[in-house]
Amino acid sequence: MKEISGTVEGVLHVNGEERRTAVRPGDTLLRVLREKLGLTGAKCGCENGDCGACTVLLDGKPVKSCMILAVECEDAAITTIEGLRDHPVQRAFAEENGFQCGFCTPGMILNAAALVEAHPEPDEAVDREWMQSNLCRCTGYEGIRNALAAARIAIASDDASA
Amino acid sequence: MIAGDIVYLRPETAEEAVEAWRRHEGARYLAGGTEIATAARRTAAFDLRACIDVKRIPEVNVHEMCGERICLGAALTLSDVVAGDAFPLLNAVLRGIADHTVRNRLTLGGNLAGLLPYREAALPLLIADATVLTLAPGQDDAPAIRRERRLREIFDRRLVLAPGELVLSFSVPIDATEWHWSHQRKTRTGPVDYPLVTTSLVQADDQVRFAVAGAHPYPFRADAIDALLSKDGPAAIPAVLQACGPLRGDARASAEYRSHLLQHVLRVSLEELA
Repeated sequence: MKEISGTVEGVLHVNGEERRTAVRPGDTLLRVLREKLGLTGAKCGCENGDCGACTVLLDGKPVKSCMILAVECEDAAITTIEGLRDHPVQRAFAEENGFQCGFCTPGMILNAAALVEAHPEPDEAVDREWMQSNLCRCTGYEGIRNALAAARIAIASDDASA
Repeated sequence: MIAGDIVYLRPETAEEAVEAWRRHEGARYLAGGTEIATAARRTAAFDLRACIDVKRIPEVNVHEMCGERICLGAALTLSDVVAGDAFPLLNAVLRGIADHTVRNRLTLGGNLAGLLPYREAALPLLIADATVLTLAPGQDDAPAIRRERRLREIFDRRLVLAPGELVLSFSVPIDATEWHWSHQRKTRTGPVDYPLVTTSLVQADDQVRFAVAGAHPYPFRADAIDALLSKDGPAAIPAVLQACGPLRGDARASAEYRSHLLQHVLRVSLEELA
């Protein structure tokens, strides 16, 4: 049985890289990403699982990193917004003005990226169900919705030309 | 971040998990962690000195047919259960709990054993007369005790477990997945909100079965209410409301408003099943 107490060296697989850092069992994944690894894309919003600003992908699934202990994530593939490079969803958010202040944007984009991967075809009910996990306090939801639609078109077009 | 020093334990088997609980005072079982991580961070009153991470124990992750029953591991996330698509009423209820991203972590066992009063996953499980498989620490050096009991026998407002007892899985008769059902959920704001009233109603052969959460500070199912609805259908609604007893009134909604909602959703559900 694995047992961790005090401060130990932990290994996390973040954005395709093995990252070693000192962790305590009580450290949330959000705090370790931001404060130990310098990956500040995941934002510290409510720290209560409500706002979605801290969303990251854990083995491809969007999760709220403020509610997860870093020590739980050994062996999992963690993707933060820094790990998405020129992703069609990122381009679509920029082109469709899918953000205003930008605080919610990393979480929104990661959730949207997982959504279009899992559901390449648009479905209003599914899109709502997924994206309700993230709050935009600027209420820029129309741009976000347009970005989602544009990203799907771009992905389908990339696939067709590949 | 949880301020205090805690010990993190990751057992490979249920027996190891229960043994770890015996050895570590102030230990709690951790699966989805959605409640533990937030409660421990917010208040020192939440006693947490050790987390026993049970997620990797095979027994708590089962999602399979066991004879004429469906077995669902307690550490399955709500999203896993929904994706398994085995029990339509349960799926409908789970899709209303929290939001999609939280459901990717929140577990079936965690929803029933958690501190929040809603415990909506209990509704279909109580209606289906599910059984619960648990492992409890033995006295002194005695081996751990494995028990399978009807959920209704150990659910009194919440799961009533012995200290250190670990929920392994739930089992539902396959017949329950074929019953006609209706699920209603009313919130104060949007879909991602705690329920003012959430109900599940099924037609099981010639019997109506009904359970509600949100209306009381705990999920509620009563044989007397099932009998009333089975006998008189919509005409029994006033008697059902009476049998439900005093409803919860709080900042979200008054007891009178919850009573109105309950009346409404009952009527809608009975019409859907008619």
